[in-house]
Amino acid sequence: MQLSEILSVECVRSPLAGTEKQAVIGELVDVLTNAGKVQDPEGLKQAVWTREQTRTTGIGHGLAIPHGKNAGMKSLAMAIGKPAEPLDFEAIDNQPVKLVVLLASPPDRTSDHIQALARVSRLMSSESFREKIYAAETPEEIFELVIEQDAGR
Amino acid sequence: MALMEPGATAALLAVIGVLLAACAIFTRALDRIGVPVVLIFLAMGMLGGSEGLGRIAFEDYNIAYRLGTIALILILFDGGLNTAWRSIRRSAAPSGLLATFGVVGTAGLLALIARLLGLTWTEALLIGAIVSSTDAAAVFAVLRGGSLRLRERVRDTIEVESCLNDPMAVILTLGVITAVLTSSAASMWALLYLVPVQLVIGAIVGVGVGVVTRFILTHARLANGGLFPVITIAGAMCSYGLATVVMGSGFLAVFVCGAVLGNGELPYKPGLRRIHDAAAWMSQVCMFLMLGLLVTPSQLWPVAGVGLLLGLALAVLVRPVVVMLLLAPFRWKLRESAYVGLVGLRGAVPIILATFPVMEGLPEGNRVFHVVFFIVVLSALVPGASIVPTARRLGLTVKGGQAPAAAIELNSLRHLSGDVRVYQIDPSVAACDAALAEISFPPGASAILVVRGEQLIAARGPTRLRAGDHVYVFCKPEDEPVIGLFFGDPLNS
Repeated sequence: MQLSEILSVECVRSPLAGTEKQAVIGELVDVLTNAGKVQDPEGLKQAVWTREQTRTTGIGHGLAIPHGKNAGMKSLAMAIGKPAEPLDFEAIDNQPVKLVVLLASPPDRTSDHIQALARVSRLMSSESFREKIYAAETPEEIFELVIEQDAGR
Repeated sequence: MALMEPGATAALLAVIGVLLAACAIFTRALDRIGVPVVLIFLAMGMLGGSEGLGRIAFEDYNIAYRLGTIALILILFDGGLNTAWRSIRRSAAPSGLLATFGVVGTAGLLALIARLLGLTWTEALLIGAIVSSTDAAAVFAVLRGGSLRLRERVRDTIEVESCLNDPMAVILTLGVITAVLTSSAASMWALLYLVPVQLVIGAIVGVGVGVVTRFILTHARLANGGLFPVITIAGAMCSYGLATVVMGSGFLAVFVCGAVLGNGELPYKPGLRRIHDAAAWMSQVCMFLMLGLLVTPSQLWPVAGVGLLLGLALAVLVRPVVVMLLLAPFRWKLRESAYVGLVGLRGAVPIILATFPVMEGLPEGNRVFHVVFFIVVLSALVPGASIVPTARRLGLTVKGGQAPAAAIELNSLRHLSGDVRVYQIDPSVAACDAALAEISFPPGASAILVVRGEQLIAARGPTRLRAGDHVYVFCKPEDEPVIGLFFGDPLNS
């Protein structure tokens, strides 16, 4: 599976309006909803927030990957948001978060869900790529960078 | 009848052995009904004491002070060892405020009430100062021992406060004693100015000794696992001793030293944790047994009324009011700060501090000691019995976190890169309902065992994870964030 299958440019938002963890998650779910990918936005928000409570998905180096499963999802979907200012996500390295990647999946697609999570975290493990994507401003730039880097792997 | 040696020692050890075992056996039953286990130790101590069945005449406050200090060092060190930096950092402001101004406020308000109840100013101030700090061991036993999982900031604040506030209580108590002995209040205020200095020195010494201890543990290439706890106990004692000698807070130094060691890479870490956990429990048992032996039941009756009233006032009025006032600027939910106010368990520290006035020969010493006894018992009973149900009722608990039926851990005498972590599968995490083969583990990581209820399941590709399972995963430290992304929070971090 490639990230280009689950991410489209209209699901990238930069800058995000939200300035706090829960608001940003809600905003990204709304982005997916507007793109017609979510049937039960409230249920999805709740699922992502519940997952966030077990442990922060701010996995360090400025990246957070909130995610959740919801029966209203037809297929795996991804949204990316860049906060206007680095955001407190209670990340494991206590650093503010510069990019939020939301992954939403139907409950029966566990394998793809995990693969997508792994792909995103692997993508962002390259320091030079992180520098590039944190410097990107527009949704188009961010989208291009992600798709290009993912295809090159 | 006086026994001759070695008979006397043998008889004493036999009685203490029976008391210890009885205490440990009773803990389970008491835990279930919410009575803090420490109280049974206390009762056993009284039973064994000079007016009880054991007839052990133990009146030596100097020895009690020394034993108490050692016990507290071991308890605080264990507390530090098990406290994550994340917790300390997150709760530094509220717990720091509670540990300083909160202690002063509690001491002052309680002294005022004691004075109103007819005690002399000296007695009232001594009692206020002595019982002003919450107890790390009692707090850890309740918050970490049972099934209770509190919201993080509430739990962190209560725990870190209990570790930080002892120095303040020590300083206040010594201040009152000095003021009484020199008949001048000036010396007490002078001591108060020293508080920040003491805390800073204590923290610096704690970090220093912690770093040195870790260096020794990782570089000394000790031949035997049994020597590791000898080094850590040495570190704990040195940090207390050095800090106290250079006018710092020894108790804070011990806690910091433990935290430095617990938060870094350490050889033989699971083994060390287990040993210090046992040492802390043993210390706790001994402290309360000793308190039981020290009190004289016939001297308790005259102060029973005032002691009970003060204990109640502290538990339901003084501490909650002071805590809620101090936490107000943090804009917590009311029930959160009220709960921190309720969990004001007292324990070993007041017992040790109550020996100070007796050792200094203050005429009020004995009476104060017995009043403190009531306060400690009540502030263990009232919050102790209500901590778990109240947390549930106020909605302050979080789910999860049962211990698995079986445990795997890596014990190595050298520092090796890699660790076994255990995750309990929450329904919300990505790995729930996934087969292990579907999980993209980083190249150096793998699941090694699944524990489902009482069942042990081999971690093979087709094994599908269910909510509630415990999964043991081997991974390198740098891969843990990704593993955690799939599995959630490890139970053993």
